[in-house]
Amino acid sequence: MEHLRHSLLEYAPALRRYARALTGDAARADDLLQDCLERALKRAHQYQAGTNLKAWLFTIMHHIFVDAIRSIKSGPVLVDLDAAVLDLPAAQPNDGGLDDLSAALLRLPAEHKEVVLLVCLEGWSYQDTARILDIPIGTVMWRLHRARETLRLQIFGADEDGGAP
Amino acid sequence: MTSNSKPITDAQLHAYVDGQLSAAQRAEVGAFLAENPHQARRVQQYQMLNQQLHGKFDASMQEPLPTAVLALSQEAVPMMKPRLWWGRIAAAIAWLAVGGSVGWLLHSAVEQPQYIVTASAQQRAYDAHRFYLREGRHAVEVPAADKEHLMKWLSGRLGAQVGPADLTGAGYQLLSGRLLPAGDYASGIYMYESAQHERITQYISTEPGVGGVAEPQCQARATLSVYVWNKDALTFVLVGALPPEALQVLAQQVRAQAMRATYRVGPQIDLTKSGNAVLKAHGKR
Repeated sequence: MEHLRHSLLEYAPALRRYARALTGDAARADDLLQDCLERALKRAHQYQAGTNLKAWLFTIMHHIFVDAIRSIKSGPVLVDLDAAVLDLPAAQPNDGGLDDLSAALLRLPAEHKEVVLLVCLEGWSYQDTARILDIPIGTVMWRLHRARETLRLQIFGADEDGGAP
Repeated sequence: MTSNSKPITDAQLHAYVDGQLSAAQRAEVGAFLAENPHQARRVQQYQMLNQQLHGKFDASMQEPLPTAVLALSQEAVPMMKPRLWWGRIAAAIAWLAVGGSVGWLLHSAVEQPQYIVTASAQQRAYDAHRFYLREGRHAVEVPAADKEHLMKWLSGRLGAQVGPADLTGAGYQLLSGRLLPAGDYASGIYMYESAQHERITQYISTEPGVGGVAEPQCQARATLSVYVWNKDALTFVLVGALPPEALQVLAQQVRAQAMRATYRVGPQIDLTKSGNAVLKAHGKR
């Protein structure tokens, strides 16, 4: 348990970076971070010694993030404005207040965003990403491709030569 | 695609960008890219995308962790964060049930024969501090810029003229103030912040029966210290993520400033004299 508490601090910065990119909002990200660490402590008994603790923490954060989105989607008409930041609709236009990357990330479907951030920002292997998100590795590759292409086209613009090799 | 290299899949291109290929595979993709400028450009843009993500978000790893997170790593009992006020209250009740067993008295208990449980005021102050501490930008109900209005408003609701203390000498600036419920009574907080964004909360409660400490007391609870004292009908609590001795120094400043304050009945607030920290209570009503 003490080891776990110590490790929480060690991994908190990476979890926070991931949360920040995932939510696009610093305050919301810190809530997500805190919820994640609280849940990890509550469920410390479920952690199997010797397995990848950092990956376990990212899995917990993934679950909380997905639960939050689900509760927004299935929730009542009253929308928590903070929580809504988690999942802006795909067609949200860039109102000029965001840089291209932030705007593109906000538009990305949550499940694509998770993959692209775990791989490109957090540096997880495809195998670890598949484990964290509990999806087949083929799905990881497909989502990564979709997400990356979407971001690339939004940030760098369409290929002038039509895109075919 | 030229005949000199094997066809390369999208998956291989991604793996190339992400450094997840063996040296041999890497060389293979490298050869392919050398002959396919269009794909090479796509790969380059993927790489730039990775760099942009790091450029945008890596800085957040250097920021000091929220105090609430730091506290988690040391707390004996992890507490789920209730999202609503009723949840907060439920948590407070749970804490009250735990009673004074949490934390420890730093002052000798022997010297505190008249000690009456102040868990209620301390708990409320503790909860308020933890609750609003995490509200980075939203900790403010009335900002310090509106100090005059803040004092008049809070004092009005508290029925006692209580201004914020001047802690600038100790490196803390007034951040905001807020009205809070304390049972059927009103309480309020003034939150102060240091240049390092460390926050301390001054809690003032008019709720009867929660005070009654014979002399000021300081408790350490998790990473926070909680300092409580009474002044007439009011209970004051100072909460901060400081060692008890350090918080005690601040509390003594607040108390000393309040001691200098003149008591006066009526709504007028005079902050022009003896610094701007004032405690002016109404007579008991």
